[in-house]
Amino acid sequence: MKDFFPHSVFARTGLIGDLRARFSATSLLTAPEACVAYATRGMADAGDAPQAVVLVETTKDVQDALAICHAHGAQAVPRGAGTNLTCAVSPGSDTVIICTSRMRGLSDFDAVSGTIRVQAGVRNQAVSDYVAQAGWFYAPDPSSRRNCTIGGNIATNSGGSSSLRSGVTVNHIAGLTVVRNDGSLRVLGGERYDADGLDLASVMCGAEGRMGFVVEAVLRLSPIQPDRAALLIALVAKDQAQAIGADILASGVVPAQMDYLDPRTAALCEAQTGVGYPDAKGGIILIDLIGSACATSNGLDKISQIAQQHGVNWTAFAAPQAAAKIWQGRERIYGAVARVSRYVATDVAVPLSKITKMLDLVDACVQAAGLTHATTAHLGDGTVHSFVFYDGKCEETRQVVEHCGREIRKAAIRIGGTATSEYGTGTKHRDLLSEQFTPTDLQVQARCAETLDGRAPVAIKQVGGLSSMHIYSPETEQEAARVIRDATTGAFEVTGRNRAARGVGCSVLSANALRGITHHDPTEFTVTVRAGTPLEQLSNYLLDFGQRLTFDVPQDAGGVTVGAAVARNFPTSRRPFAGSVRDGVLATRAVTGLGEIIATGARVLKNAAGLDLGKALVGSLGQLCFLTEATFRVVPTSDGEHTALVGHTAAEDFPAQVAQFMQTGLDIMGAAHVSADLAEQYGLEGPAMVLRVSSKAGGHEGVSQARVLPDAQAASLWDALPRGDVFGSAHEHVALISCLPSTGGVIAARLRDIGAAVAMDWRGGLVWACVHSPQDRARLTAIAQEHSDARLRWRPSPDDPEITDRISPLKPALDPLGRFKPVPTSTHFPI
Amino acid sequence: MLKINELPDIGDAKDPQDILDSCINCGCCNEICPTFTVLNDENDGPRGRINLMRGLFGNEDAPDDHTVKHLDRCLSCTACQTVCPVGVDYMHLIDAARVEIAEKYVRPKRDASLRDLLADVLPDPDKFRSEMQRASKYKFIAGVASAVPGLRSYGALLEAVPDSVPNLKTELAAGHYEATGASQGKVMIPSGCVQKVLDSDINKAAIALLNAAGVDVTVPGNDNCCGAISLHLGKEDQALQMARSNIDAWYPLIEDGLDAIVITTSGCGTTIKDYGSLLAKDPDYAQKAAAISALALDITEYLVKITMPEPVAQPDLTVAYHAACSMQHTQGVKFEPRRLLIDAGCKLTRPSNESMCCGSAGTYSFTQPEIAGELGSRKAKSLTEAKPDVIVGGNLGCLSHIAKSTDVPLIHTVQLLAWIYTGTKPKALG
Repeated sequence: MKDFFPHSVFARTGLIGDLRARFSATSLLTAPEACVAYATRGMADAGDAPQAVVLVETTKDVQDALAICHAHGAQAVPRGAGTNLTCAVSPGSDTVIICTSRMRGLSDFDAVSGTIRVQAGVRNQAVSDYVAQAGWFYAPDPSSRRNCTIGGNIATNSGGSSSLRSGVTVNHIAGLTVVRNDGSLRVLGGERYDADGLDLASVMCGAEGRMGFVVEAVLRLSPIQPDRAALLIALVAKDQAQAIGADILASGVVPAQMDYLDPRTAALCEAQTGVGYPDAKGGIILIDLIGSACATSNGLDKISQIAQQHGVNWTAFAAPQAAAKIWQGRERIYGAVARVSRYVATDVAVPLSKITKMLDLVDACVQAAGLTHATTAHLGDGTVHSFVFYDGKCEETRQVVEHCGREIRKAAIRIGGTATSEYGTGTKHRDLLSEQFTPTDLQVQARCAETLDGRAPVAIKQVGGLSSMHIYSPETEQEAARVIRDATTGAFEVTGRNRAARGVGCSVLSANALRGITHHDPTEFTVTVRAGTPLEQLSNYLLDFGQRLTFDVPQDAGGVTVGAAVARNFPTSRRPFAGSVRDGVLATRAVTGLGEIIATGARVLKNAAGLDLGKALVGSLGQLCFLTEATFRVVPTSDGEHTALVGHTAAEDFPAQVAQFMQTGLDIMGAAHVSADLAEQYGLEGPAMVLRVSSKAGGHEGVSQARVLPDAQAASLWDALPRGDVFGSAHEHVALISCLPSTGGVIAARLRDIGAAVAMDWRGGLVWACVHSPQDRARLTAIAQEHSDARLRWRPSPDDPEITDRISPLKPALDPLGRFKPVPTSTHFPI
Repeated sequence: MLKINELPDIGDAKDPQDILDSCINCGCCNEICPTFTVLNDENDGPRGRINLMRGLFGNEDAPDDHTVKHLDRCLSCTACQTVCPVGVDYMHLIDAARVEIAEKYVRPKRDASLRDLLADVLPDPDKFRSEMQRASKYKFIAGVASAVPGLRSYGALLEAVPDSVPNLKTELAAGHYEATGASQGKVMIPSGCVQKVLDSDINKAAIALLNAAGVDVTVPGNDNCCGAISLHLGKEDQALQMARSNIDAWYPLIEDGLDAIVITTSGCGTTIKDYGSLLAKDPDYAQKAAAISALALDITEYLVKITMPEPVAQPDLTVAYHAACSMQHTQGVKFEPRRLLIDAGCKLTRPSNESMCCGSAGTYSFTQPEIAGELGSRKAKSLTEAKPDVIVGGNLGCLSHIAKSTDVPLIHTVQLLAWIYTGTKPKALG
């Protein structure tokens, strides 16, 4: 019946009536002539007007609006600035738009650890403006950043042209507050690194509102860099772009942006801005370098050498103003193309080795349609943007151009890329998901979305005592799926090793036999590897190509598999600076608890198609899916690094000092603080700051007085620090206090007074402490309890392992039968 | 010495429909739109307004109340034009829309009479002077009127009446003002309307400054309001009549040789620079109008082109420069005033949100007092953040509107420059 009478008079009256009762006339628009403004989106044509628009200001407003819509069965559509290019906020005429344009609050800015809490309607650029004085900026930089909102950025997992260096939205989200379909609230993650639900916050990035309404986010900020330089390379042929880009990446230089502009794009940008782009036959490459003065000048040297090797002309812009100016042409690309003609823009991403191929495919698709295009590509992340021109006044060419755009997107999928790298699918490209994913993938994604959003049942069946107590080591994902689908096999402990079950009445499902690298092209800077492969083996393999994973591999990683790294998301010292395992995983293959084989993500750095469920598997402790394969981002091995200890640094001063060092362009890869007794082991007096810095960036003046550790000693220190293993093995009383980053220094200072040995990380708000007696243990507990934001956990002993109580809210969607059991462990913290 | 170029091509008035078609709905304009940042409703941003205008042109029916309400809220600050990636000519679009509304829409009585009053009194210095005399007796009820929703506009009008009503004797006399020393140029300053009555000191300072710099100045005396006020109230015929009358008064001076028409009220500058486009379809005036537009310069645009004399006073002042929208957005005059102030030795602050309108916007502070008041206090806040000694700007309307929200003295840019180059300290600085 509902389909025939989508909004009967009564239902409509009831919905609008209830909204009117809750919202004032200035916050609720219901007149058709007022609602029609909300039919616009970031595209020339408009969609249907919604039946009502609610201009929300608070979380409570959103909750109430959603609850009212839920009660009346009306569809609610979130809207930020309305700048998307995919009809994502194009409602049907029976929808209610919930617009976040008044949710503009910024709060809890922590200037020493670079985090801030923002409401969903805060503009991307407004965040950077707000924190600039303290030396920070918000890194994801979509072209629309002056207008688009953080809520919209999260919905589409927006990136920009600086994704290569800075990542995309998901890499900068520390926590989210989400309102579910029925109006209930869910908090995911937070300022602390071990806050619950960060994995879900990651999945929420790019979910395009399917998993709930994001009302608030905690963002991680990046330090403003002191210097900027640029290079312009004029190409003879377009296929030089991919090769030069690959050589630059392999050289270890990490440009902030590295864009290829085809001859037409370069000409259009030049016509619009006159910044001085040459008329080069093969188009041009623009490279943006930021960092210390030393790093940018090194970058210029290396890249000009590469240009010389390829026999192409280049111009360097060493002054920051000159660099900014030459980039202005590229930055105004949307205006430059829009002045020429109406266009359809695409945003596919392909593996870096396929950029030339993709440029050819674009040419072929556009030629076949009898149209013209201008194309630009991010050489660092594989995004290829094509603007396909058409006559805006002719409806027929409009259909031809839309078809052409779809053909380009399909072509990208066929060569291993993604249909959309940053716009998202919206309603416009949603059907393309079936080209990129299997029906099973999409079913599972839908199930997860419904579960998280509160639209699906959340009960998990408990598998009974019947169990074969067997060790299964499938050799293929199909075999794994068969084992899981066979109900007689009971419940499993998932592991990478060949071992018996630790729990009672469980079988073991081991990835032990799933080994080996399935795909690695060094020029793509990704590696695809099966889950049972030992991490150490993978690292050694990559080392032969001068590459490494983005996260550190633990020293005792002999037995740790790729699957375990994903399952545990173990902490590494690089986490505050280069992200954790979660940030390094681009794609996964896995088998659900129902025996469905699913694929997530894509073999590209930027992907906005579909739910990125792979992120939910990271840190899930094997309780959601049986991982069979993962694709990681890899980077060139560093030019060298050193670890410096700066003595006599008070715990209270440590966070601010690290922030200051970062803003001088020092390339920090790890930052910790240790109390005096730990520092003593390294021959230092007083509490010390420990910094792990890259040698290539220079600018070490500030830490030049420090004591530099021998490499081996440094390596074991950085291996042990993130796990709190710095106190030696004899101590029973090792605690982890997690708190707001700004509280960390305060707690560490208090613990110093009771004589505890303390190690603290930067930014994450994690304080490890070791005491020697039950009395001190009680005093430490008391100190932790003084801070309401602090959470205290004591390390379990190997004899008395804990069973984790972390159960992902996605469990009912991915393992509704409860097949994957938690594994008792003594080393599970912190995630 | 600057030369008059050959007569320029006749400007071409654009068809509103073509302007509408050039908009790609990207939404880049919303965040820079002052009313959008206050109200946060798509209907109160440029993209929303453009979509409302899509239903306005070529439609026989009278526009609905909703359309008029939201188009009335537009300040015509044209900040949107500055950021528009495809260069939508919003100024001519909203001007055309206002005319369309004036022709087809029957305004509620109170609204209509306010607009008639403004269009009738403000452009006419004699009426303006006598109405102010009359209104000054009722100034004490301004506060009460401002508190009554229906009377807010009249409250704002009464508040705007200065405490001491200026009289005819202190006004600037028409005539020729000869340069001191060798002449390096010859310009005309239009007589103007509201500024002439309220603050003659501005043009007096401008003339003193120009004379000191070796520029001869003519103030015609037989000209009138430029037409901006009528234009923004949608009264196009009245505006065009004023433009023609000015052209009749000014054109003989051009024929005698004139380097520039120098304007000290930037709102007027916008309209005079647009005469060519406004009268493009009038065969009798098109050519002359285009010639006048080609000669029209904001005074700061003119001053940066000539050699300034040696400073005679060196006040140690921290100065906040207020960029009037008609200068920074509509005319694109951004660097000239800052350049002049820095060259004159002033310490310039860098106020936040410089692109935002102060809410004065011609008659807007009277027709939309609530939004104007909010924008005025936001503007005052950002201008005074760096604790300046004085705020300067190129438009009297902005200065008097912002003055309602701050105690920092506000003067015209040329008044400060005149102090530095001629030694006459502005009265407002004590």
